[in-house]
Amino acid sequence: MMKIETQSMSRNADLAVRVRKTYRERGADVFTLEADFTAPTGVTILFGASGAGKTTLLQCIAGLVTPEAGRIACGEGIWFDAEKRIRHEPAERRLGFVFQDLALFPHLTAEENISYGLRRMDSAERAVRVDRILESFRIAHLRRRKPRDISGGEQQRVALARSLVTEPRVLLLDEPLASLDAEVKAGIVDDLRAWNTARGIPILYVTHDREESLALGARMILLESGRIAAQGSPADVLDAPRRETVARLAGFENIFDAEITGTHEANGTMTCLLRGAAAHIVAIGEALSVALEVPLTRVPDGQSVRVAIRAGDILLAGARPEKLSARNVLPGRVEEIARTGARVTVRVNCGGIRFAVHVTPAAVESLKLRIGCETWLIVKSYSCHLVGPAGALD
Amino acid sequence: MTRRTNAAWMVFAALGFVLLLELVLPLLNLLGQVRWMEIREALEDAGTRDAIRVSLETSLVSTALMTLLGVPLACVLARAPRIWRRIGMGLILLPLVMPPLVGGVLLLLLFGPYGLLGRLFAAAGIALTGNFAGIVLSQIFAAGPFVVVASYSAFRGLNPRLEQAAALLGDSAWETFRRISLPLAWPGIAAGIALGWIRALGEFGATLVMAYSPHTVPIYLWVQFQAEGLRGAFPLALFLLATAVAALGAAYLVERLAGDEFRGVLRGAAAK
Repeated sequence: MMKIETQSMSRNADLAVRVRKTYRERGADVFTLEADFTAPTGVTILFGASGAGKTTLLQCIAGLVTPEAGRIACGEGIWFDAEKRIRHEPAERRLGFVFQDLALFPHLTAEENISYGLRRMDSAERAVRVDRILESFRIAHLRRRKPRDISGGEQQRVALARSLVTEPRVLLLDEPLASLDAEVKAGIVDDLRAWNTARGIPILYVTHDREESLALGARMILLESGRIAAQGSPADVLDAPRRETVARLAGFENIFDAEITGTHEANGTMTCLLRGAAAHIVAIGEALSVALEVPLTRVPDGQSVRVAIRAGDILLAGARPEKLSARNVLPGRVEEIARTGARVTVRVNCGGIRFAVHVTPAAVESLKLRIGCETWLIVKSYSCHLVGPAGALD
Repeated sequence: MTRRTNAAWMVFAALGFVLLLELVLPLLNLLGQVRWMEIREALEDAGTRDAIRVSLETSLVSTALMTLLGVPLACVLARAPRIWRRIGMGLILLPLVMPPLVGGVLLLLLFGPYGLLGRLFAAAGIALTGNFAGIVLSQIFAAGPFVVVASYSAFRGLNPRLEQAAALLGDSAWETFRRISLPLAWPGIAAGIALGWIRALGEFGATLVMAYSPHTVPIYLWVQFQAEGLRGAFPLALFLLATAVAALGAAYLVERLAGDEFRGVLRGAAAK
């Protein structure tokens, strides 16, 4: 009975965090972390440059660091309350924490690492749980291997399994995938997502990798020098052009929510309709929709996706081009021309969707680009990156 | 360029070789001069046997005490703020650089029958000098720092996140120590224990002042040397050397075996 109760309590309990922590990093000035947010179930990305306070924030939540002020609660359970002088030990918070360096116990095998947090459970149930998690993270064959004898991606899976097998109420991930290559990363992200579909706990995921956040997160919190600078959907947060940090970390200037509307197996492409265009169609009366041909991937029709395009990957043409290999030619109107150094950022409105395009000053001259003039955008299919389903892990 | 470097190396090697001779020749010389018959005789001597027994008993007791008290101290110091680490380690290194005879005098001032603490014990009828207790106190004073310093380095070498990870998985501080910190620091600690034991076994200066009798092997060696000259000292010196070499070998083996098998054995023992 008890077990069922604690499990149902652990579901859908939001993580509410309000902390203030002042600290001094080695050789640096005094730094204040001040954050107030709620992480609902599913993945919340904690995004920011290094030194923004992301790791300290996680440590406050885990109880490894004690804030001066604030309150941390998961559902009904209060983990920390400075005013009421409540402070639960890390062991009592029942949260999973995967460190950047994973912190696998080097003297224990993968299986012993994973069952580490279950020793109070009777051995039959422990065996079942360990088997199940080994299965869901595809590491059953590594059972008897020591951490040093397995690859980085496998270590990562063991670390995740070790945290998740205890059925935590909250999962904190501190850049756990930073050192892995994209393919390995994608596999782990899929398994984590599948795991949380059944559980539905809040997952706080620290990263400064843009693609990772777009692939994983439904929500994003942007941390800048210890403060929350923006929060919302990853696309919104990352697309806000005024945010210098984001711009620096990002590298993709164009991110759009979109929907797959057609698959063309023979052509090796899919059509996706950019969202946000519809509202402008009537008002402007130009294009009926803005559709892009993107490379074929295993995404079903009707699926929401995010498309990211680098501003430097888009060509501008002064007249409608013909006989091109590029699949996407979009008519638009120049709205803004901004020069920074040797680079010019041209903002072009295509049927209500604004694209940022990087060109050289010479190109502006030869195309005679002026605000309000007509132009054509040329985008290769392979410059359109599907960076993950919109609203993943919700 | 290369030639000059080689010349420098030659000079260094020559200088080093002189030192090496000074360190090793006495040992080789001793082995060459041993008359095995005399050793057998010496081992049948009651005084030698008593000294060996006293030395083994006291050194094992003092090593156990140094470990019991020194490892926790090292663990606490390793996690302390920097200022306390410096103060603590400074105090612990003090006995190491102190001439052993001076240590003995200091111990006598404290534990002697008229000393600050010795007086209290004397009132209760317990003597802390001239007996087993006096020897153990001297040995701990001289050898304790070895255990603490080695254990301290071993604990400092641990990744603190391993302990945090254990705590987050539900371990109490005690459980974390037993399941994570101790097994991982064990090779370093074991080496420190072995070194401490050698040092305790060979302790002479402080013991001479604190407990001239019952004779430990080093004291008896001194007594025999005065009575019979080199001939009397030989067998005892050889015994001390043999144990030291054995303990050093053991410490080296522990370090070498700190790989999978050793830790596996240790973990199996800890789990039960």
